[in-house]
Amino acid sequence: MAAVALLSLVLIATDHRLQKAHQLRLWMETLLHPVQQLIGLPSTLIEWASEGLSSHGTLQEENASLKKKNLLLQQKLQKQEATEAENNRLRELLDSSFHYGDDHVLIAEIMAIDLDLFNQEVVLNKGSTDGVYIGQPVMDADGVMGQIVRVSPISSTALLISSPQHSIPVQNRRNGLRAIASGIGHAHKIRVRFLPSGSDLIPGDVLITSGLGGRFPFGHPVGTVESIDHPDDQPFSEATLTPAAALERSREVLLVWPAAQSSGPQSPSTQ
Amino acid sequence: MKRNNQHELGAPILLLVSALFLTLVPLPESLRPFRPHWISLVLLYLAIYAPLQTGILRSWFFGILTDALTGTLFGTHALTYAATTFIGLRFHLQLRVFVVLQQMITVALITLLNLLIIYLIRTITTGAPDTLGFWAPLLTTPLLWPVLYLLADRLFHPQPK
Repeated sequence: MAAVALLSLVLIATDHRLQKAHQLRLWMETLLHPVQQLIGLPSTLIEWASEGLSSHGTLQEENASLKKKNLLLQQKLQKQEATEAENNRLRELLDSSFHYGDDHVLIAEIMAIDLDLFNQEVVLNKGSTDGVYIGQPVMDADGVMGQIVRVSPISSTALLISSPQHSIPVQNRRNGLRAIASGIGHAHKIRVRFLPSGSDLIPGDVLITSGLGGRFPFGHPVGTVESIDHPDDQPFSEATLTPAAALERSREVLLVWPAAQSSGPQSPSTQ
Repeated sequence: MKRNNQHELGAPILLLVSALFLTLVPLPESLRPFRPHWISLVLLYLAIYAPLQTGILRSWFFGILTDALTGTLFGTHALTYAATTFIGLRFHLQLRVFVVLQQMITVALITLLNLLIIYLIRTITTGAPDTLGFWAPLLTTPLLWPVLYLLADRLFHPQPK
């Protein structure tokens, strides 16, 4: 027992030191991929069955509402394209090197398997064969979800922004105030610490990625300010955010290759 | 009970695989903290009622497998499972004659020990979990002991027709 305990402690220390990104874990996760798929099988089957059994009427309704939504989105997109072009033109006039370009995206699915509750990680069904790399941003339709921390050939693990181990550079969409948002291990809350007192941040403000770390592309929503707290004995105030992305409800997520980086590791085969 | 049954691994493997499945199957977010420590529960049962079909090293390797699947640091689950089996094997003669309520208290104590081990590891490495939900398995794990006991008893000693 003593030997086994000692061996465990050594393993824990090594694994922690290596940030869980080493060959042994990679091999094991690749080997265990079928097990993960097997566990996801019941929910996949249920989903498949409910899709097959849903009535003609429901589908028609859904189709109609999707068409309506698509129309609205297209109209918004037209406006946005015009704004983007104008923005780039103005930046050229200002001689700024920053270019607001197109990002590559790939849709990945979150596998129906629960990892340890307190790690705030999810498994995605795309891996290094699809060009996924460590540090890649993961988004859903509403905002930033997290980033990739481990990649095997056929699957990858993403760390959510709600994890205490995750921090993301943000800025206020209203006035450009910059800060760092960190997770606290809670799916509905993230926190901005060490705000100088008197910072111009009010409840309802939307914080977006500032693109400063070079990891996340600029301009994607991270969360909405819920409350601002200024403890009397502290020189700094703290803001609590509600994440924009549906961290615990999303099933499909977007893997993003930021425009500036698409010449980097491997260009993906999607538009 | 048949003598030649004692080294067969079919029933223990079936129990452990079911427990692993229950550990990984997705639950609604609000129920996730209450997920019982299924694998510890099964390992304790095996240590008490089938001591020849289990072992500290086997439990440890099963823990490594669980670590790989749940994304925890290698050795975390391995250590708790080895400890569970060790305690179960060391006291299996006493635990066997306990009534169910006493066994449930034992399960609660072992779950507490396991949670303390995990708490220490987390505090040192990634930071202490600061929600009460971390301790929720303490309530659910002992409650499932009678269920496991009845099911596993059928599995190990099929009633003669």
